[in-house]
Amino acid sequence: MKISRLLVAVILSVASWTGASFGQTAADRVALKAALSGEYFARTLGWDDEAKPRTSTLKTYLALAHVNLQLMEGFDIAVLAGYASSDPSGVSFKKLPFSIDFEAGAVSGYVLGAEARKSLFTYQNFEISAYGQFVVYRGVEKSWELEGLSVDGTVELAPAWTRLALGPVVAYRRFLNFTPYFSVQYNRLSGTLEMRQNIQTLAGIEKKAIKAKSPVALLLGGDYALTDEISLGGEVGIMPYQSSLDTSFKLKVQISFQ
Amino acid sequence: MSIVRSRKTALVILLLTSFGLSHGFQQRGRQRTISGSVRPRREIRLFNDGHPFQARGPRFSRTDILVKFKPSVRRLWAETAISAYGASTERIIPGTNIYKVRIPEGASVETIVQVMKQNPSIEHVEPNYIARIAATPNDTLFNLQYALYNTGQEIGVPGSPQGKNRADIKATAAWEETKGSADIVIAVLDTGVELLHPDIKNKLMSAGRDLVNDDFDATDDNGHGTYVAGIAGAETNNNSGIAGVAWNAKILPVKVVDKDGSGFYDWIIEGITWAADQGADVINLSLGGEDTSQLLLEALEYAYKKQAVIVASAGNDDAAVLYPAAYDDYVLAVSATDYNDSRPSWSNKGPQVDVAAPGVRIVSLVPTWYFGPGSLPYGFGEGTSASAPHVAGLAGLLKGLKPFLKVNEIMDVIRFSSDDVNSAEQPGKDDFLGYGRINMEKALVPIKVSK
Repeated sequence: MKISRLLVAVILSVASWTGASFGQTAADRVALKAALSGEYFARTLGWDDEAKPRTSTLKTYLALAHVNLQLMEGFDIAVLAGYASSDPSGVSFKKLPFSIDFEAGAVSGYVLGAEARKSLFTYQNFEISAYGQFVVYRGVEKSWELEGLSVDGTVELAPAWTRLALGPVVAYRRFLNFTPYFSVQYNRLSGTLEMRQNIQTLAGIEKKAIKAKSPVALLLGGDYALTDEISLGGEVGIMPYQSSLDTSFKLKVQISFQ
Repeated sequence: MSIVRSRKTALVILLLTSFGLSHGFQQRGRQRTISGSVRPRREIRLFNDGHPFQARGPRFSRTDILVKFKPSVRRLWAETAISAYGASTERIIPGTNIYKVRIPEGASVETIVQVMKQNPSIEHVEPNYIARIAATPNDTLFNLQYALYNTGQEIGVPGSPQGKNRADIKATAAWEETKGSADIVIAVLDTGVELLHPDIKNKLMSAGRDLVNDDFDATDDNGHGTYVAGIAGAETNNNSGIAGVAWNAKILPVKVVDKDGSGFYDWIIEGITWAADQGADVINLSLGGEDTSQLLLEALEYAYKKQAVIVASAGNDDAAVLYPAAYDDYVLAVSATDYNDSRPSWSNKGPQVDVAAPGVRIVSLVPTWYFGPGSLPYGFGEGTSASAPHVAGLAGLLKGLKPFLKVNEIMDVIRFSSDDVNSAEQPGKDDFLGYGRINMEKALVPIKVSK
């Protein structure tokens, strides 16, 4: 939650920094945009297993609705809300009465977040912007029967994670309808997986901290304007981790309302 | 007072005699015959040139991996995707959607597995692991220990009964997860332990306590205690003899029964209290009597509150569960199964029975003096005396692996992980085998929660 407060503070600071121009030119520049995006990412997670570091992969599908307010030319803020299906399979829980290897697939949940983008300067055909996004995922607790024991028992998993992305975006604005861009981001994903076990008189809870191993994302994308109001976007990302690469893919449809 | 004392003595004698005369190795004449049969085992040739079947060499193939695509992915697309990684399809495992994939030359398995994990079309990808015989100790008599790993082998000399495949407590699979901790102490309250027995001397925490002779030298002058201690904690993977259930745990011998197999309750009460004060994590009591005792109950409560898991034999008379096993709140009462996972007719029964463990034709240590010079110091015995230390060994492994669990939780893990092997006749918990025959694998190895 400290991070979310920090992000809000950053957004408000930027907003106040540009506040004067908002007031002067709001009538000309304020615009409302709505967008839908779909994203897939797979991140290598690090977590501790009896003091021994272990890794697994978190595969996640995100479907987000963006409500984007362009406060002035070159400055947008947006709130995000949507659905996610996040699969933390591969994580082991050994602090429960019966140890568990979780391989049961994705857990659905909701996502809330915010993002902001501020154009900083242009150089020839290149526009340099600052970009920040913060999203929170809360999985809806899901339950599984434990099989093979002499009595009935269940486990429940409640996953949650947050993702903070911050970094510059370099956009190439020479083309009329198509704007490719490249971004290097600090991209931090961390959270918890809370596993509960209930087997008659036995009960246990294990809360496992997870964190994506790669803190850096390299993104390549492009926006294509179909009309003045509608644009399509696509983005691929890689997140290097030791000798391996995590990946992400994103598609976005955006509608502008002047 | 003396009348009470002699009565209690008689009760304990009765139990140990029943272990011995009916089923145990105190029937020396019979066991000497078995020993005579055991002797040729000196000539049993060793598999693998005497080397243990341990995990050696690479854990997985360096040239290929296994890839499972999602059911919606067609074969053409799957093979195209594989080619995109510079890899090639070797074969599809029949009846599955699993591709054996040869990775590009020079690529590492770890890297390509990690990269392929990012592909949303792929449900699962992993190295092509190499399986080996699971954590099989190199103890030369391990093949006789059907209780730990039952392959349906003959149990003893040629012509001996054969067990049912996997009617065992799944020790080898459990040892893959943990072989226990040397910090864990299993107190064996019995006739003592032969302190210099080659297959347990290195596992002893100390010379123990002798409450029969009131000294600190719990040397076994009967044989029963050495036999029981061997099942729970014989030195394992030492190229000789048998394997103990609690591979790495220490044994604390406490002599509470005399050479004739009789023991006053006061010895047992003091033994329980002393063992708990020494920090015993598990207390095994392969003994019992028909009479209740408030003081015995209080001693058990004392040890329980000190977080000692207490395991006791149900008895061998086809009668009600004996004490202390019948003290349900503090003790895991253990009945017997055989090499077919069946209940032997002599195993005691009652609602206090928690679990069962193998107790028929169980090979374990006997004192070196027992069969005399030239004989191997091992013998077959049976009774719930042999069943209880299997459970005590499991309790020791659990305490080592999960030190955060309280004693009642460990008892529940042992109960709930048992196999209900008599479910056809007695589904659920019953008076004969309790929750069932213990299953070390289920108790110790993580349960896979899958789709």
